[in-house]
Amino acid sequence: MNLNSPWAWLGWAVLVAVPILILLLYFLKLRRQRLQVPSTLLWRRTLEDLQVNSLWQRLRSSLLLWLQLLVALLLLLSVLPIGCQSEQSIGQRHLFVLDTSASMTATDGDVPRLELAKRQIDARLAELRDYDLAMLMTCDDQVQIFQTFTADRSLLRRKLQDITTRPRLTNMEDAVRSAVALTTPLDSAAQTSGNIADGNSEDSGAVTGVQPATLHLYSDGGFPALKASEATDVFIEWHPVGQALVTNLGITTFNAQWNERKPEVVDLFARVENVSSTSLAADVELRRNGQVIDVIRRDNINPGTTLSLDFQDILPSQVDAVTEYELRLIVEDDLTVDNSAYCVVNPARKPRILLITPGNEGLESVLSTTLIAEGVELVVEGPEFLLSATYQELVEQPLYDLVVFDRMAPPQLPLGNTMTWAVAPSAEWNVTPAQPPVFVLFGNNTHPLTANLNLDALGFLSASTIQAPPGSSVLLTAADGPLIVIGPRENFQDLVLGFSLLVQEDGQWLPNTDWPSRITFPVFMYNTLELLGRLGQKEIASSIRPGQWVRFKVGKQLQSLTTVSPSGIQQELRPQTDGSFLFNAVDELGVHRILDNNGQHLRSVAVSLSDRRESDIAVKEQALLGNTAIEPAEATTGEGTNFIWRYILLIALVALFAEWIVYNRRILL
Amino acid sequence: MNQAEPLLSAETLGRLERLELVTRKIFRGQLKGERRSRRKGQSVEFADHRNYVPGDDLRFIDWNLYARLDKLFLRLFQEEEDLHFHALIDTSPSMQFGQPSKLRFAQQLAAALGYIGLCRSDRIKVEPLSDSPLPPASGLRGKSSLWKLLQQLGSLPATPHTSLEAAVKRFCIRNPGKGIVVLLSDLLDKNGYENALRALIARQYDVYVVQILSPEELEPDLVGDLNLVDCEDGEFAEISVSPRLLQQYRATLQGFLNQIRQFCSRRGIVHMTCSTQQNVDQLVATYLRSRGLVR
Repeated sequence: MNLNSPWAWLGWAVLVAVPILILLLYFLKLRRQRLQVPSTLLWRRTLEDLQVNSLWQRLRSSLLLWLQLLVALLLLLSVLPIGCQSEQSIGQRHLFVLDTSASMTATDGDVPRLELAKRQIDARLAELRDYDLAMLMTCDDQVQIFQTFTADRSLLRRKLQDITTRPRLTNMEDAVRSAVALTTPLDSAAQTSGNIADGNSEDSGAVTGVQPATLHLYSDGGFPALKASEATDVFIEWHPVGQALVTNLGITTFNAQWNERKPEVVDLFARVENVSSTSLAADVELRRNGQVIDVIRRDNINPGTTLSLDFQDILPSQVDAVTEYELRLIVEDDLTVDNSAYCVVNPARKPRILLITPGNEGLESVLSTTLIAEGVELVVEGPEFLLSATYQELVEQPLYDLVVFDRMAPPQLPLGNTMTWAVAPSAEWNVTPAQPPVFVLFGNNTHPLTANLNLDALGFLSASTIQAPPGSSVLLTAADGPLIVIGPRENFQDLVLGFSLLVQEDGQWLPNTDWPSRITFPVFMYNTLELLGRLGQKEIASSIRPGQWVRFKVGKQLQSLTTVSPSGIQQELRPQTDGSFLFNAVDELGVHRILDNNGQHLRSVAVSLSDRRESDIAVKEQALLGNTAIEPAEATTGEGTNFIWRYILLIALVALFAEWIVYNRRILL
Repeated sequence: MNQAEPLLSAETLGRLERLELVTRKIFRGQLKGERRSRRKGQSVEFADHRNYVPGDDLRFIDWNLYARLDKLFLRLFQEEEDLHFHALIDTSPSMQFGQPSKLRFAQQLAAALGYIGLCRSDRIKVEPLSDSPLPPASGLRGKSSLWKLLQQLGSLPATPHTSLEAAVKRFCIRNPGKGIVVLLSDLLDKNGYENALRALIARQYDVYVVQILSPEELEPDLVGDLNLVDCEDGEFAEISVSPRLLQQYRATLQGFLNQIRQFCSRRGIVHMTCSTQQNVDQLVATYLRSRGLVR
């Protein structure tokens, strides 16, 4: 009973009613024995004589009543938070953090791990003293507080039963950080941090008299090492949930990408890991739009091995529809959420190309050819665009697929692929000053941009060599160094050319190279638009994880979209200010379809777990707090001694009740 | 004691024959009895002379004195009277309690006293106390009426709730004569006993009150919480028996008895308290003798 809860008045009423009820029962004994007597004359006179102080006379004469009232008083005292102010009566604080990530759905034992963890927490709650405080949190990739510090065990147990798992990753670090913040008193937080810096944290709890908190982690240990500084003030107990010997085969990677050589071919890659302690056999099904298109059987997948799978699927080029892929493991193991993974190929969207140039006839003319102009949405801006607020949006949002910087360096690279002429796009790049003459040595025939292009005979009046960041590929090499280099930048690629098509002499722009007059130039530009600008390509979307947000655009302006989850749950999406839509992958694995108002299937979003750490469900031997190992805590028995008094009181009440009955029955004897 | 047993045993009858009822007053009965009266009457025992006045019975003129004194004198003889003995028995439901019942005890006592009276040719009348009119009881005289007396006692009608005062007044109206009245009752009348006794005193009866109580009333053996129901009016009293309550009850009872005793002694009424556990023979032979009712 929580005497601080909004329903406390009810509890108080019940408690106060107990002694009153005893008194009422005592005076209003329903089983008063009827006895016929010759006359009640003398008895009435006797009662009249005793009428003065009769209540106290009756009370004084009844030992039974006093015993009953004594027991009721003990009951009240035991329930009420009454006690002397001493160090022992200051309740300890216990913060229970329950892992609700995908791995906790494993059924390696008799009961699911989550249920097992709940039982352990319930048992631990039973062992706490009455004045100890407990708090309940859950963590997967987010931290949720289910119940703040309270001494109400029943409330904690109710909240505990409300907890469910979600197919998400584990972020125990956030949970520990939150726990530290919640268990550190505000007025001592500053001093605590100072003490930590001084290496003396013993007085952190003495500022407010609050006992140090204990953080109970109920998890299978599938989380990275915790940072030591985050848990300085909290004593951590790790309660492993699950077994060390498990059976699980999980898909840890499932991606799709266009074949670089065959535009109509989709390459699908998958990694399947056996995190079991035994060898497993499994069938791997690849489904396209629900139809099985390929099956691979592996009879002996050894423990700890990773199975790499690749598939190729030829998509009909004329079909402009969403293609959904599902990779499914047909195996009986302890964790089912990682036995399926998804990815989708969405219809092509006309790529958006932004050309920022002070004026370049050769470049503009090649971009305005019929083949390119029909396939892209070209926007041409002047140098002043770089200083506008609109450009800042490019930095924050991938509004263009390819941004071409002609002889001008961007203040900040946009979110998108870039093509930069004659200058370095960012500080990671270094372009030397232009130096004539330039002798081209050879081109890169293996790269899609320059494959089958003969660039050896190109002539330049002046050109610069490029120093590119690691991982870049040189496409054209001159005698002094690389002239064309392509390098990766997160999810994008930057193509840098060490020359421009025009060179300025005597205030006039003159041709710098004869490349625009060669057939290789429009081919190179087409390849660039095809590779970097996704010209003519269908969009491939790798799956996202549950809980992640995804932003996408549709070709036409729509006021709303409707998402349909794999289970059929519909949700309406409203466009953002930039016309894009934000979709949150809820906790439902599979392919979520996005429809317009007419029900036309525009695109899909695949949601998969695909995480090796979650698939590795074997309980770890230890968790790491910095470099220190946290040994698993001993199992709780749930035999709390603090609750014995309740049974004793209950027995006492029953005994008194029985005695009351016997007392009244004695009259009948 | 078995209710089927005779009210008086043969031995008891033998002992009772030697006793006689004693009254502190000389009453004139309607018939000649064995008791000397203060009045002059027509017995054989000479008492006195008085002057003749015309109209006197010439048969009682003392002719010897006329011869000697030449004056007419009339001879007066000592008058002999019988004694009227009334036994008023409370037959209310409260008299049914006790082992033997208070009514049985009262019947035995009335039979004993009545037999004593019958042996002395007293006029014996046994009447139940009742609010409602009952057929008048006939007076009994002579030892031969013993069985009639016992029959009357055995067939006393049970009366419902009886008001002692009303019943006694009804008795007084129906019995204008004087004599001994023995009231056999528990006197546990919530309307009081005082007016009833006053009515008897007013009729100049020689009143004896035998208050009969059962052991349950004298020493109640009760335990626990009880709802006591009055057998006559249904009134109840809820009690929780405790030593203090019992002690208080005894004090109340003693006060009640003292109150009756005082009331009676101030008015020349003999009051006796009897328990149904007492032996009737012994009671009559010793207790009543000591109180002057019999000798």
